[in-house]
Amino acid sequence: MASDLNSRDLNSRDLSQTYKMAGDMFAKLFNEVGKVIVGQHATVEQIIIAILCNGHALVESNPGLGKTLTISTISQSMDLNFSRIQCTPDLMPADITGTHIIEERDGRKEFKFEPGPIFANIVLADEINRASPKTQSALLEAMQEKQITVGNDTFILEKPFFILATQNPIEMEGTFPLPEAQLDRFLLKILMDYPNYEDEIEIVNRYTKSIMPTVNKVLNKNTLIDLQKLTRDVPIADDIKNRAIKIVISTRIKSEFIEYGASPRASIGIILAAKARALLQGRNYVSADDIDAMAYPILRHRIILTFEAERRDISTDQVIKSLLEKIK
Amino acid sequence: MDIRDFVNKQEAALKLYRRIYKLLDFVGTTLILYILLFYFNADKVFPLLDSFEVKAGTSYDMLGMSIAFETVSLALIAAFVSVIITFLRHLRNNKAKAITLIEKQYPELNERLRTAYDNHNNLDNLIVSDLLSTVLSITPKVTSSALIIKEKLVFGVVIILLASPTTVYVVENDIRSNFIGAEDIKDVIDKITFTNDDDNKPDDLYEIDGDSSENGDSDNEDLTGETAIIVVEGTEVDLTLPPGTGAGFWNPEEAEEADEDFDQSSPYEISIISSQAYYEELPEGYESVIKSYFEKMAKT
Repeated sequence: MASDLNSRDLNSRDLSQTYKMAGDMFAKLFNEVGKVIVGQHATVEQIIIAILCNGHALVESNPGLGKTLTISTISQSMDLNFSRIQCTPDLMPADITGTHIIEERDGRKEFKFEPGPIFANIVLADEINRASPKTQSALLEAMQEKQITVGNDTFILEKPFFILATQNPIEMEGTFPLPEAQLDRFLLKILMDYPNYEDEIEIVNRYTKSIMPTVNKVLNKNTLIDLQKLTRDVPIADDIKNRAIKIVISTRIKSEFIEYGASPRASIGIILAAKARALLQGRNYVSADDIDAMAYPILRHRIILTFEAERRDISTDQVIKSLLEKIK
Repeated sequence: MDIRDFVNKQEAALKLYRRIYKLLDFVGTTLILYILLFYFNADKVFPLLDSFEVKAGTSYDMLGMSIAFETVSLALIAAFVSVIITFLRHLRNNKAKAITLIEKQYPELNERLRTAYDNHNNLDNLIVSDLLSTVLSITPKVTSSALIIKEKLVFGVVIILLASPTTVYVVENDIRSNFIGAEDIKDVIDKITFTNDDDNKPDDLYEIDGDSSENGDSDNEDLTGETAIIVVEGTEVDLTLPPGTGAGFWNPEEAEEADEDFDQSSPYEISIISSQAYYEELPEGYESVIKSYFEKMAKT
């Protein structure tokens, strides 16, 4: 199957061909990921949306729900360079970006740049909130500019480039919560929930066998770049676009529960993510449902709640829900 | 057909339908208002109003029919009020775009049509082209009649169908309310007209002997100051003549011109004082008694 999917038809540089095959490709991608990941369809979908938007995603859940497995599985199903950084408090920026080492050649010693794990198409930054702020900020330039600077040298990162980070909302001791500026650079904040009863039975059945499930590569680099271009081409009606912007602007109006709202980056993100969702679902137009669905992962890490909201145990998702209901 | 032409065509049809709704609303409201005005004796007010007194009772020949002034006036009032009501009702109406209405009627075009319309200039875009071709394959099925809001149309027609025969029935059978008479309506009009201008009260025009309240029984006295109560066969009859009684109607145009050479001896300026309205206000039921009283007076 893998050979079929990697055939010329599926990975053609011809956009129209890619567009025609998009539905099949996404179906196969979900199928491959589904071999390893049980359920969690919304999470997988949102991670792929982030990739189609050429954005970064922050996945948050309690331990043991398969954050790392999900991201690594999606990475494996795409024919892209993948690297993983396990963030710890003693992780240094050079451990991520790479460093100059002394190399001896023809009797002469010279500095040579040894690229770090950031030089990959998909970078999994596991437990990102365990890295020190100094190390976290090393990711900032890479995330926003898609380049890194080491010493006097600037290195352009290869396209496509994504950072898929995970963090754990509990066990907060010894962690460094991500600053708002860095959070804003993540296109989506994805929450993973516990699997339901049937899914958990399936997980147990699948992972208590001697043979572990494996995935085949179904997308290559060029196809992914084509899909990213197609994502931006998905048309959106003016009134749906206006509604999305109104939703974002409404977060900036100070209320009982909102201290600070989302930046214009959220407006761009919500439209782009809605386009990706439409393409993923085989539609050639953005629906109002796409905006509603993407408002949560786009806005939940960009809205800062008031003390009153925290005191009353009101979540960001509840605030977003009320905003969506207001702006119909 | 281009998507823009299609939408423009539907918008034009929608405008036409909106005009039809307005027309139906206007006709229905006018008929209902006419019935109400007629039922509450609004046409009886015209003879009591100075401005319309002359024309009251006259009629116009229209299309071989003789139509009374009161009928025409009532219809005009009803139409005028109906125009205002219809305007206000439709002003507050939410004017949905043709695209929204089409999308409601044809769910397969939902969100597609507006997206295709908003992006129809972006033909280089592969996905927009695909969307346009999908939408244009469905648009031939769309008929302008789908934009008609049937409930609104049926409601308008039913109102007219019910109101028309009701109008004819009410007018032909002269069905009127007993609760509100022409006098009541005139009183209301007088109150509205003279609320803040006491000097122009019509009764002031007839005050000859100054303030009548100076004499306690002035209501029972005639112009000479004698009591106007007589006793006929043991029954007291009030002979008080209301101001203006017998003065009749003076047409200022036909009145004699004042003599320019006449030396004014009166402190008051000489001018024609006409009664604003000519009517007899004899106590009801006493007309024959008063008549016989004056006949006896004449004989003696």
